[in-house]
Order: sequence, then structure tokens, then C-alpha cells
Amino acid sequence: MHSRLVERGPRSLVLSLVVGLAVLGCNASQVPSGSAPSSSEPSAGQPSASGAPSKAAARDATIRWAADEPSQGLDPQIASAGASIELMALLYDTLYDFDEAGQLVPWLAETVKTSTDGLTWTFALRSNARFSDGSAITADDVKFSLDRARNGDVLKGQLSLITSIDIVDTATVSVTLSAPNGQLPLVLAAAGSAGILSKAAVEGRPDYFTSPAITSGPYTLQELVPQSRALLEANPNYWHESLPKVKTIEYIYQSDATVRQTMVAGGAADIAPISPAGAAEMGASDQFKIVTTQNLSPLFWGWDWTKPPFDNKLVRQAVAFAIDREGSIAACVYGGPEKVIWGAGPSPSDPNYVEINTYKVDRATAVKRAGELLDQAGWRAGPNGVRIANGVEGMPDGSPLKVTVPYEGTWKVAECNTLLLQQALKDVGIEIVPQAYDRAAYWGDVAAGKFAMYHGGAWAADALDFFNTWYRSGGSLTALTTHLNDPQIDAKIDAAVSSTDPAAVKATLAELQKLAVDELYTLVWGQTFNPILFTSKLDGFITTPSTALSRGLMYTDYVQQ
Amino acid sequence: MTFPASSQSLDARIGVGILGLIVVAAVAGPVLIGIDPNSIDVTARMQSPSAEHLLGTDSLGRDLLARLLQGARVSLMICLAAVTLATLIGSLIGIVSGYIGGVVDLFAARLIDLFFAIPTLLVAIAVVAALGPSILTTIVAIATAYSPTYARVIRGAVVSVRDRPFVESSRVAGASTSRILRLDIVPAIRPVMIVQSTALVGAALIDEAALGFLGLGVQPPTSSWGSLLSASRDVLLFHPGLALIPGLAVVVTVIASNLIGEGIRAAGDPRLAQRGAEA
Repeated sequence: MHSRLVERGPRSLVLSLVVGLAVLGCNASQVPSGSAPSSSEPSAGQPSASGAPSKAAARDATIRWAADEPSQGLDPQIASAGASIELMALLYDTLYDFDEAGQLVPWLAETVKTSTDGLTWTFALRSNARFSDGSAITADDVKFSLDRARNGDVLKGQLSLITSIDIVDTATVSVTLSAPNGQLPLVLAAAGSAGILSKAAVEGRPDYFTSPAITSGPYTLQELVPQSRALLEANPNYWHESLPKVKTIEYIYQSDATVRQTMVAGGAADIAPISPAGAAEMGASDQFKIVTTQNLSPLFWGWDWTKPPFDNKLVRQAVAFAIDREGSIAACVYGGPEKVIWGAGPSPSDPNYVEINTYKVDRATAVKRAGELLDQAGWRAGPNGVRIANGVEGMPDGSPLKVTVPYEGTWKVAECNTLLLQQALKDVGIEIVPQAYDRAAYWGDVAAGKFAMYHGGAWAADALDFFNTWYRSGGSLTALTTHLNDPQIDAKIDAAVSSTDPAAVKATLAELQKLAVDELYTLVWGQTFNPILFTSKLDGFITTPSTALSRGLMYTDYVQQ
Repeated sequence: MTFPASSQSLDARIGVGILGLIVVAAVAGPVLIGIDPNSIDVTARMQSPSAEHLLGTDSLGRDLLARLLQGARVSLMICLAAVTLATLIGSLIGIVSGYIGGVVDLFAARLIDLFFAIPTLLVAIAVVAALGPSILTTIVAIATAYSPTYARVIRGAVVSVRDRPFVESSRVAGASTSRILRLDIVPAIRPVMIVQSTALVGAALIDEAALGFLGLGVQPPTSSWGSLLSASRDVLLFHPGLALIPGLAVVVTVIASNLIGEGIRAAGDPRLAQRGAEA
């Protein structure tokens, strides 16, 4: 994209007018035209050289999926960014997955047995489970993959209850836990992150993850061109008889949601995640369809609660009163009141959700309460409407209550939310300076604790997963959200994870939600959704509670005329 | 400087008129309309033009006219400051290297060649990437990008006059280098400097818009014409007015700037001036 923008041919004056329009088309050259589906009907596939049972061949057609470029590579042990997970989800299968109905079911595992004490889980692999090169997926591969996962950055916390992984026979693996863990299936369904790898392939090639060609998932990687695209072809030995539906996926890298929308609208791509604003404006039509994700995607304000001003809980609570949750949801997420979160973070539709309306008051009351809390915290009214420190520990008297709030520079929703935050907190004397931040460095700097306050958006499958991944030390999102490392909170979460009594789980989660609303380690205030726009020529694309949107591509086919 | 009686003169006068109106609007407009350009009203998003909002509102319910006028102020301030800075740096390098010559000239010329190998916008992007986006950084970035262009033109002008008889006579009379530069060289190349500066204003405005469009210019909520273009992207297909209005402002200002530049160039060109007089 840059090379086009820096070209300085004759300076047509009209250029300045159409600069926005030019960008919209800047990726068109990367997209080969004419990837229309073959009209041929699916034919019976040939048995693989390894003797795998025959299956229906994927339709000889290409689906062009436009999405973010994997920013953290394709090693499930270290890649936690959504963009990486999206591509890994197509390459690596997991022991569990969500099926077409959105149910969490054994996937690469054919059967799962748990011991009566809940401490031993035995996974029997599908007899026809094979990697893309035709070699069988064995218990050794599963042990290798899960050992990598539980020692890696991404799932270390969530798999911390595993004490051993043992090979029972070539197709059976036994996982032993230190305490029962009802969340284990969900963790083992983590798209990409809990993917099963070929031990021989990974150990045989030190650079395997730069271009993983032997994969367990529905697709295998044929070509990877940085800053351009990845080309995926259906795994000819995939265990599922009728998946994937289409033979080729051209994974076009495009980080701008508006450009992706234009690519689909203009025929340069078939399907792409777009922005809520784009979805609201465009709407469904005869030519295009829009579906939205099912998983919970909380939006939150993160902060450094170890340093002033947010080390004082009263300041955090003042912000919780002062922000305009409904305004942000309406203006930035294009959603209704159902997207507003007043409680700790779990969605109101979650069975373990607890309604806590501490901060749900009218605007005048919210501003008054926030002001009182800030006064108590030592932040007094100052010149130009900005509060100043007066006896705040760690801050010289007279310091203004001014906070720079970075957000991912290319995420329009984040910019919109931050501008609304600025306006809302101005009412209570907190000066917010929005800062568009380099997207590539953003989450690394969040994890490094560089920001006093920052905009965030993440995900969670349900209330238990929310606390397990956001609040537990070593949780996959803890370093990016709450930054907690509290043994007492860990113990509560472990108790909930280990419990087989739904009432006990609900009680523990209720306790955690009250704690979260009071302490505000992060301020979850709403939830967003990811609309996916696709041409009506496609059929079958689904979204599941999986963290990867792309997973739905294996169910997708062209409409048969 | 007076404009010759020619079509260039008329164009220049039109350019001055347009640019004058834009400057007046940028300076006085925000006060006259009395609307906070950063005030968000989520209940009034994407409104069509009305008596309350003459150009309508944007995706956050902010008054588009107020933001356009704020953008005019910011964009014009950035490009004028950047061109001034580029003029100072470029003049200094061009005059010194052109007059002294020798190794200094050789070094300066190669340095300028090096910058010429890189597109100006890429230079500006690199500066913003290094220093972080802000109004000041944008000014420095554009000035850095344009200084080599300016220096090369000025150097050429200095080389063409440094051995002229009036400079030689000053030298023979014992004038210091500083005096010669101040009293002989700079006055002789002043028309070139003016024309070049004027020409850069339009280019700087386009680059400011480009940087703003890429999110590397002024930071929200402050608006510039470039950032207004950028903000319109999400809804470009459905509300093209949000892009067309700031785009049009850039176009008109660049045209006005170019017309003025052409007029000044014509006024400083004796052949054009004579042709105008004959006409």
C-alpha cells in the first residue's frame, strides 16, 4: 500500500480529492480476478496413498477471504493475536470444537472418557485422523502438542491443572489433572492455540512455523506471501467426510475493515470481517449477506492500577460512573442497550451472569458521584476544569488529572470509544488525551505495562472462561487485561473450574463478579460483535462460539445453481 | 511585487481572492458559527445539512462545518509553518553550498541527491514514525521532506549569480562574504525563493492531507482536512459528502495556491512581463 501512496508522478490536483477513493482500491491488484467456482459437481475423492478412507472431494473452487495478516506468526505456543489465530484455526485441528449447531463436541478426538473423580480424561483419536501428508495423527503427536501448549505463553494458565499427559496406545491419550476442570473441553477447543501438530514435522524442520505445510486442520498451507496473502488448499486427508467444502482459500491480507468491505462489494473478495459501522450502513441485500459472531467480545478500559492515579480504587470507580456506556455502544458499536455491560464483564445472557447495577444511574447522578469519589481520592477542582492533585500519594500537589489513552490506531471503534471517553470524563474534571497507537506494537506494550490507561477489546466464551482467561495469573489474556497475579483470586477461579456442582460454580462466579465490579481491575463496559460480509454466491458460512471467525470457512460452499 | 497585465495576473488575483477567503474563514469562522468542533452528540449522528448544522454532522454527531473550519485553521497553519521552515533550512543549505562551492557544495549536493532518491511523502512518514504523530511533528516532517527540494533550487540560483559583475565588484571592493550574501546574493534570488515557497504551499497541503488520511497527522479530536478525509472512510460508500467536502477544500486551496505561484512567477519573468505589456 505504501508503495502506491509514495509514487509521485504528475501531481494532479484531483488527486487530493480522490485520495480516499484511491486507497479503497489499493489492494485490488493483489487479488487475482476470476476465481469463480467450478460448475462441476463434487466427485468422489481418491483414497490417499496412505490408505485413508475415501471421502468427498472438496469442490474445485476458491473462496477469497480478506482479513488481517497474522501478526504473531503461526506457532500456537506463542501466537495469541486474533489475526494469527484466524489463520491457525484453518491449519490445526483441535481435540474439541464447536459444531455447526454451536455445540462443543469432541472433534479430532472421537470419544472422551472422564474418571469418576474427574481427574483423568482419556481421549481416543479418530481412526481416520491424518495429517495433510497422509501420516496418521497419533497419541504421540497429541502429547507433543499439548505439552507445547501447556508450556507456552498462550494456554499456560488455563492448562496449569494438567499434571501429566500419557500415551495409552498409538491412538489414545490420557490427561491427568490435579483437580477437576470443567473448562478443559473449552480450553482444548481453543482455535489454533490448542491445535494438534505433527511432531515429526515440527521437530524435523526448525523453521516449520514459518510455513507449516503438514497440518492436521481442514486446510494446509500452499503459499505464504508476507504483506500479501496466504494460499490454502483443502487437506486431502482430512478426517471429516464432507469437510472442507471448497478446495482453495485465498487468504488476502487487509487490515482496513472499510477496504475489506469495499473488496467484497466490488468483487475483489468473497467474504470478510467488516466493521459494525459498515454492517449497519450496508445491511443485507440480495447480493450480500451479513452474519455476526456469537462469542462474547467485551470492550474495556484497562489501566495500571499499581500507579497513580488508578492505584486508588476511588478513581477507578469514578471513571466507572462517568463513562458514557450507552452513548459509546450506540455511536461506535452501532448496537443497542443489550450490548452495554453494567456488571463485571460476562454477558447478561450468560447463565452465571449477576446483575450488578452499582454504576447504572442517570447522568447527573453519575457525574455527582464521580466528583465525590475524586474529591475523596484527593483530586480537587482545578483551573480550566481539570482536577489537580491535593494530597494524592505519589503525585506532587498541583499535578493535573490528565491521562494519555492510547488505542489501536487502525481500529475505528477504538478511536470512537476513546473520543467519547474524552468527552465523558471532561464532565468530571479528568483530561483524556487520545493517542492513536501503532497497531503492531500495541498489545506488546500493553503487556509490558507501558500505559496508564488504554482501550481494549478481547473475548471470552462464558463467565467462567472470562475469569479463567482474564483474572487468573497466567491466563491467556491476563497480561493484556487485568494484569492480576493474586493467589486468592486464582484459588477462587480454580475452585470454580474444578467444581462439578453448578450451584457452587454460580456462587463462586457471583463472588468474583462482585469483586470485579468493586475493584475494577479492568472496566468492562460493553461488548462488540464482528460482522462478516459475504457475497450471496456463498452458502453455509457459520459463526460459532469459537474464537476464530475463519473456522466457519470449512462449512462454506458456493451456492449450487 | 506587481502582477503583469496578463491572464496570469487575473489568475493570481483570483488565487489571492480565494485564499484570502479561506484564511478569513479559518481565522474568523469558528468564532462566527460558535459551535465546538469537538462536541460529540451521539443523538445527532450523520445528519443531513440543516439550519442547525449547515453541512450536516459526522459519525459522532459533530458539526461538519465547525470541523471543516477548524481543519482549515490547522491544515493552513501546518503547511505555512512547514513551508517557512523548509524555506529557512533549504535557503541556508542552498545559499551556503552554492556560494562557497568546493567540498561543501559537493557534500551538500550529494546529501540532497540522497533525499531526492526517496519520495517526499515517504520521508515525511519516516519522520512521523520516528517522532510520533502531532501537529509539530507533521510540520517538521513536511519541512524535512521539502528542504532538499528547496535547497537544490536555491543552490542553482546562487550558482547562476555568484560570478555576476555586481557580485564580483562587491568582492573586489572588499565586502565580506556575509555582506555579499545579504546585500547581493539574497536580493538577486528572492523571486526564485518566493515562487518556490508558493509552489510548495500546495504540495505541502496535499502531503498534510495524505498524512492525516493515513492517521499520521494531527491526532483526534483535533481535525485537519486530512483527518476529516480519514474519518470519512468507514462511511464513504453511504455518506460521500463527509469525504467530498474536505476533499473539495483541499482542491480549491491547492488551485488558489498554484494560481498565485503562477502569477508571481509571471511577474518575475521579464519575457512574460513583456508579452503581457505588448498584449
